[in-house]
Amino acid sequence: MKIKITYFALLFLVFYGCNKDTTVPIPMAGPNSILGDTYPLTSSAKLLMDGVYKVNDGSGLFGSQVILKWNRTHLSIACNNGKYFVMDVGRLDSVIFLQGYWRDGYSDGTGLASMHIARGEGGTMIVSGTGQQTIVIRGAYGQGSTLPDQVLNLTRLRSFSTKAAASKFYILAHRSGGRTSDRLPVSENSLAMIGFTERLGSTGIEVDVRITKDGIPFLYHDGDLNIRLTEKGPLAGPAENYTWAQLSAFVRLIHGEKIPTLEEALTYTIDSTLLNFVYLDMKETSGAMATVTSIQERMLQHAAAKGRDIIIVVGIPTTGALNDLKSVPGYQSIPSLCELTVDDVRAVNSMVWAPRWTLGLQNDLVQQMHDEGRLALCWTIDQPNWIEEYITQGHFNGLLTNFPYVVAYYHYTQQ
Amino acid sequence: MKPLFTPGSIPKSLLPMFIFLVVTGTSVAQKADAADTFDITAPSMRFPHQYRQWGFQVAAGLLMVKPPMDLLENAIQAPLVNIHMTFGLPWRLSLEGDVQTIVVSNQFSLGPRIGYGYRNFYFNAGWDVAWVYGQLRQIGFDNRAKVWLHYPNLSVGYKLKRMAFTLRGEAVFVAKLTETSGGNEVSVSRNFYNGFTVGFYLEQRLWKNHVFIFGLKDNYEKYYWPTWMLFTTFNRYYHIPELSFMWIL
Amino acid sequence: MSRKFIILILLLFLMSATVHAAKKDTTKVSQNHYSLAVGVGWAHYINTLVVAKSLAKTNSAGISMKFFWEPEHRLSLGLETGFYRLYKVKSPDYDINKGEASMSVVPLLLTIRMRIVDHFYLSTGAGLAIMINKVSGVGEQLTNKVLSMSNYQFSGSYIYPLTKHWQVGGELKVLNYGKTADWMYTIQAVCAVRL
Repeated sequence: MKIKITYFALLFLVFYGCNKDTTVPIPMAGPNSILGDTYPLTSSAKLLMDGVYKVNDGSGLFGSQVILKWNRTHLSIACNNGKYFVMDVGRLDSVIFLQGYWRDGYSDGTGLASMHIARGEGGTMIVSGTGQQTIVIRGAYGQGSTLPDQVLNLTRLRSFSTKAAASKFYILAHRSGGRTSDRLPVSENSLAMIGFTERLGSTGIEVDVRITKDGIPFLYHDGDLNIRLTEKGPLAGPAENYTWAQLSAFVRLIHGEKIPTLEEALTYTIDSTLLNFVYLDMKETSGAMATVTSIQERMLQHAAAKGRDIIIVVGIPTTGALNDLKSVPGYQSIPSLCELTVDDVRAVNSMVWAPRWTLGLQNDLVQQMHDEGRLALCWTIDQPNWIEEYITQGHFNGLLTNFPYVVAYYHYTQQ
Repeated sequence: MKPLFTPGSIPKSLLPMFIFLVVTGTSVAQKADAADTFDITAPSMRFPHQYRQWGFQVAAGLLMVKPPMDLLENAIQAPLVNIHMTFGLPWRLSLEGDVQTIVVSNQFSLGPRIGYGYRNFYFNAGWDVAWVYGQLRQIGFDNRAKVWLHYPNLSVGYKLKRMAFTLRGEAVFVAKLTETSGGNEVSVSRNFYNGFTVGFYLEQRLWKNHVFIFGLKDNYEKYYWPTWMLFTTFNRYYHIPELSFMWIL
Repeated sequence: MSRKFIILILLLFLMSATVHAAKKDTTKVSQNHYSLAVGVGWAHYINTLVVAKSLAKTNSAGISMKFFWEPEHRLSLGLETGFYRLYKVKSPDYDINKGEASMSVVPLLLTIRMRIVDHFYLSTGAGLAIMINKVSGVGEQLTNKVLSMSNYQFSGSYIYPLTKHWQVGGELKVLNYGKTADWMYTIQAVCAVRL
């Protein structure tokens, strides 16, 4: 009897311990990767690779069609079913090599991917920038860390449409890239995630802003310090109850990063990324608006001095926040994003109206905002079928999502 | 005063009567002690015995759940209330019904069982059909879920006279899962295998002849009904342990 | 009254009293009791910290208090509370900022206990806990309290009755606090009064 109870108690402990994964490991190609001997592509060469591709082999896992889009550091391939690739690319003569990994954003599926573009199948055209060739990407993918052994072939169908390429559509990544539960290799609301997010197809980010006991704005989502967001440490309770020095000394995010201040995060975004939209989601606004808007103004000046075209808006999620913003002198000239009604948008002269997606397309109200020279976004939309509808039938200037690669797919495949 | 009793003063004629009274008295007491005729079989619920024909039993209690970290962000952390019922039928059959609620999410299930016993071992097999309804309103959202599930199950039990142990396993299949958010149908999924559960139950008397059930169960599932309307985009299995304390009324 | 008659009456009385006691309930003897137990002893935190792991002090004293309803069978139902200091740590850059933090806990658990054999019990419990966090040295001194919802206890104890009302014994207990995913165990000397 005693043994039975002890056994099941131990079983309980084992079961408790079985949910601790916070990352899906990124499979790595290893030290003998051919990319070590290759040369980088030029910017013009990269542009020639962007486009919509047909999946000849591998469609069972990745769908019939994908988009290839270069970002600041990598080549990303996005599918319509939540899967995506992050690829390093290099050339050797006129052969282009692609190596990286694929990942299923909705589950934990991942694996290595290795491809190339032969000289006669687009390689020469891409490298030289002349001639006409249909780009064919041939290679293989694998599961987990096993070597790629499943055939994967892509053929370029077309460039992005004028509508897709020319429009300034903001693909905003929630919490700067995704949630802890999305099992990314970096922590939400961290500098590491801000540097990583463009690989997921993001062109902008949403970050969560709180303020310490001694008045320092920082990025953190949850109401309290917990093991969902941070490595186990000796602090607990609301993060706002602690000073910045205490948070710095005792708190590390789930992947070991320090919690960034708002100023650090914005400086990094401007100096080290090509992101062009930052939405400051104010988790606590009482007494914080003046401090945050002051940092926002300074960062916009810094961006202008560097020639960076970037929008940084302070969020108004509640009527309390609306009133807090109104208490700041000159609030009507502070770039803001209002989640409330269009009348509230007008009351504070917000730059952006951002209703939640469940309220519908609201195309008429969106058009009103456009007529007034404002932008319209919606949040937080994650299901592929709804993303497709909101992109193809809606008039929003952008979407906030946990799956920026899905939004990227449906945006860039528009005709 | 002359003492009432002195050594050797008990009359010889009274001695056989004394022995007779002690023996019979003890025997009667033993018989009365053996009149503790309580047997755990009939009053138990989780133990897979053959329930009394047309007999009805109900138990109520709490389930303490440990939701996984991914779902902890907005999970309602409160005990689940559980009401479990059995109704005995002829030909080794019975019906079992279950109601579990955390207010924002509720599960109702009903299913037949057929059982067999051999000495102290008892088995039953059953098939439950369940319906889940949940509604959660937060920050202006109106998230709802309606789900139909199937739980084919097997129970094996072993009994002592006053204690019963049960091991129960069930598979979980989702027949139809509909999730809406703000009136928009977010997802509809049909006919998929959702995982399995394994539970261990111990039943014995707590007070007089009222039976208490202690249970330990692991749910290995993708969608766990008390929390699944909060996240519509996960596609992975989780271990979710439950500790249950129930009282047969 | 003759001696024989008195003896007969006494024997009859004893016999009927025995039979009556046996028939009164389906159990041997009516044993509906309440008990209050206090335990004091050594508590050890199973160090799963990541930040400042090597700088943590994980041993301390702990105290527990349990109130049980003990019906006539093997099971008892009760409430348990106590106070344990889980750990005390220094900040990783202690040489610079002299930062220290500690975590203590007050559990509030519903507990079920079963007598396995004479004087030996196993119990388990679930319920709430108040986590108390103190920080000093890095800026101002702060104390924060957080409520933890999913907390569990598993224990084994040996309780020996000294008299009808007083009992002493020992207990080994493992506790888990869901909010911070912390485990600890404690070995305590227990003194209980049974009413």
